[in-house]
Amino acid sequence: MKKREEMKARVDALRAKHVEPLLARFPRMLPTAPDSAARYALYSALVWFVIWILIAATTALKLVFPEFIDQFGFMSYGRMRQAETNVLNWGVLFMGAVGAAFAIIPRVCQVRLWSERIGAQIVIGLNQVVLAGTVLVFLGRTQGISGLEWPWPVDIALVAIMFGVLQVLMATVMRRTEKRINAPARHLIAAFHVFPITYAVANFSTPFFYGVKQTYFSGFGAAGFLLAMSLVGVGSSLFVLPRATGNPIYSEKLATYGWVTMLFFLPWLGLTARILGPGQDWLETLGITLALASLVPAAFVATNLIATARAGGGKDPAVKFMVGAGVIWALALVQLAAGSFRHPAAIVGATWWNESVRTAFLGAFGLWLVGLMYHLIPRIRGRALRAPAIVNLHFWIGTAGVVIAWASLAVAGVVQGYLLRVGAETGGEIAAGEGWRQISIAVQPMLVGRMAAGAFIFTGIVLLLYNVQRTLAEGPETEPEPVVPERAPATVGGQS
Amino acid sequence: MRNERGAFNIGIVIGLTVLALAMTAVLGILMPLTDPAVGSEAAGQPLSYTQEQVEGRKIYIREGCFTCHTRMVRDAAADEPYGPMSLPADYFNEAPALLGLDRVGPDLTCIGDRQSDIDALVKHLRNPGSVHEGSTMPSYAFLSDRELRAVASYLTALTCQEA
Repeated sequence: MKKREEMKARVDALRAKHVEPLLARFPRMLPTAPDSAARYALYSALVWFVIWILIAATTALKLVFPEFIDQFGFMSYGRMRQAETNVLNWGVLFMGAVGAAFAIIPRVCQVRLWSERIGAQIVIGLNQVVLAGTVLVFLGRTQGISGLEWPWPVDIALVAIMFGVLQVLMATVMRRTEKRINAPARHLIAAFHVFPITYAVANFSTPFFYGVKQTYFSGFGAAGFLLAMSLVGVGSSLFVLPRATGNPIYSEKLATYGWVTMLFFLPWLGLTARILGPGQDWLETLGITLALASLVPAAFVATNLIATARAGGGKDPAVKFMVGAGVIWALALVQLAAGSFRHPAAIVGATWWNESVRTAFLGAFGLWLVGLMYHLIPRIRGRALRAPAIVNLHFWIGTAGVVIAWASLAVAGVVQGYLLRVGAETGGEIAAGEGWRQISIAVQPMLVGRMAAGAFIFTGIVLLLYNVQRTLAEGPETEPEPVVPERAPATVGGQS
Repeated sequence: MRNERGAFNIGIVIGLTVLALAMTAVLGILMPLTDPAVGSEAAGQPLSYTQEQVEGRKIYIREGCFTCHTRMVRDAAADEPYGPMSLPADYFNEAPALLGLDRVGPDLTCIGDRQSDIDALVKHLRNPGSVHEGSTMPSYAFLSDRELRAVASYLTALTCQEA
């Protein structure tokens, strides 16, 4: 016993001598305050949101005006397009998902985050990974696989970050004082298992499998991202809506059914990417069947979110974002299922239609993240929103932007597919060269529509940035929301 | 419908998640991988490249050409002008396979059959608008002459007709 106390005293002395000065020197790098890691992640996502919209706007402009900044190789359309996709996926959406998990899991488990310091370090590391991946893609370092563009050193770092997030979350869950793993926790825990497993399997297989075989893995990776972000979005909504409306989730059963059916149906959606392409018919049929089955979780989730929002009162502006995003997400699953059947796929497959489906999903995830930011940031910073009226404006502008882009691209896909088919049937020179130019001219108004939608989304992000900045600078002060209410222990292992 | 049930054990949450992913991996990856239809014995015509064409392929990947152009002729009437339907063995030695997802520009599976003039392709890559007025394809004039010729040479190698 005495020996143990001596050892403890020695450790304390070493800590006082070496660790504490370091912590005092870098208080922002190694924070201990509650919600520090969540704040870092949410603010980082906000910054990447701005970077993303600038890249996306430039990309959309280049598609309408191809001569726009065409002198520089690093700003060529192909490189910018890859950078744009990856900044959105990892810098904005995954970063936001990490922030959501770091804020929500402790609250629903009634325990502080296992380690704010490690959480903050993970967020700092994730920022470096996203920056490195983006710079490398701009420099032309790409794996050349849609959805898996980042080079392998970045992939390894990203997988390590994902497992780090999982470690922090699971250590928090294991120390919980609330025994019940409720709906938001279930969704988020599952999501942060899906992220590393699917990304690692998809990326680390690329050196070993060539040709069509590689597409099985890349499809698994893409569907894994879709599943994980869907779980984060739905889990966040099931956390925010009851708090914002003051009523419980409309149906716990629907929440459970939605969660289970998402887990078992959504990982297959990667099989729908190349319907009628090279590959096995039975695999296509499996993909189409599971795409149809994904309408089940779409119905469960949309019903539950709408009913929860309608049952409650409250004026939290986040409610609109959560429900609007849920509806767009469910409709995107309907669109994906409809386009995966072989007859429609013969028209709209490999056209702008695919981009339309992706726009709807990513738009829904973006709206979920924005709603979460409006809900969480004032609470964890202890300041009321500076301009709540702007949030309403942001909702309508942002939603209009997503819907206009989504619809424009869907129409462009149908037009493109029909023109190709008519050209093929009439023997016209439509597939390439001068004929393809006719297709480009036909879809140009829709691409201009998409560019206009981008301006709406850009305006929304400016409003978000303005509102958050003003809130942090001069929002009316309130009590920061405690992670753990008074009755529960305030300090749990891993925290100093 | 409202109740307080839904209390899950953490093991069940993780177990169901892993089970769902494992099922997808077995049926959606492992089973198709072992299917002879996608192996080297499958019918098709794997491509082979010269050193210059390999260089051109690297530039094609570096510049992200696969984000706008598919290399996948589907079993659909709309794709018939592009050539014969693509088969798994067509991509057998391709890493990455560069099938692509969307067509912002035309499919390039058999571009070598449609255009075998390297100089014409270089001209198009350098200034697409000068070849097809109003083309939305960006200019690749920032590439060196050697790089442009390498890409053009690679494109001419993408053929579908029996040698």
